[in-house]
Amino acid sequence: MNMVTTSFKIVFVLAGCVVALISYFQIKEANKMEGKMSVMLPVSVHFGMTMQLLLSVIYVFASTIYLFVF
Amino acid sequence: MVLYVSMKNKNHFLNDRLTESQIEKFKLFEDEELIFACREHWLPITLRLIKNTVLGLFLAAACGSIFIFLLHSYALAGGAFSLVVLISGMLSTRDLIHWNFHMYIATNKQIIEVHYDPLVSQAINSVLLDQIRCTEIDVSMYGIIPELLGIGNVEITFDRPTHKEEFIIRDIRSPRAIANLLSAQMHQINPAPRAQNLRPMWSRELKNNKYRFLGDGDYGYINN
Repeated sequence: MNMVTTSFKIVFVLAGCVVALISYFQIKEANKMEGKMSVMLPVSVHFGMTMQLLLSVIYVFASTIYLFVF
Repeated sequence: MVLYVSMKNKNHFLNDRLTESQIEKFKLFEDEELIFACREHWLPITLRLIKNTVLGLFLAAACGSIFIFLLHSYALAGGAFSLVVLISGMLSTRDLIHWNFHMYIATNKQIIEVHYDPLVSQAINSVLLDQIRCTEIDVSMYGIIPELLGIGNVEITFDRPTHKEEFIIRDIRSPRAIANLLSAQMHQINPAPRAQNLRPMWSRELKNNKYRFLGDGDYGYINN
């Protein structure tokens, strides 16, 4: 049972890392395209992207702490 | 130019987001004039976002329940729930970015479709209007809400295999007006061919027979 729980914890940490990375590159690419095409994304979209990244980083932190501490 | 000003007043331009100088970037020729620049209506993207949210929450709840019932772990259930919500949020953000960068720009020389899906795809499709002949411009509106709000597709069919022989401007506002505008533009570029001289290669007047046949074959009625 412990093995299963630990493996799920590891999966969550890794998945969180992937989501955080994708969110980061998504922001980077969107900013690059804004410059390239001169089309400004609305503030709400920027806010959404930033919140997405922030939440995924928090998730990675939380799941890592859960993996190693509990 | 009159067309340009009149369409500008009818709100087919993205001037709230795209300025003249920004649209200039898509122009290839010096004497190119903008006809319209539009993007997908906000309703389809709103429906997609609602669908993503509902589906995401349903999947998150399902994953959470699996962990509660099978592993009896509320912490893991919370982790799974948050992860699925994060993923669905990421997909929704991607959809929003795609909607903002997906544009249709028509000038008197070309029609351009700009696609950008972050980390997935990026494409600018352009059809030069003086290189093709347009055979059909169709407007389609399906459903009650699109009919009420005036949302629909404009399908432009070409006579050559360009852009898969069809250029579909999807889910835009006022598709009829856009189609009329495009028809007028296409007609200006490729005016209808003048009535061809339908005189046959040769002909012979027949006095007695009712019918007249042309051609090399010896079939049909022959002059007596």
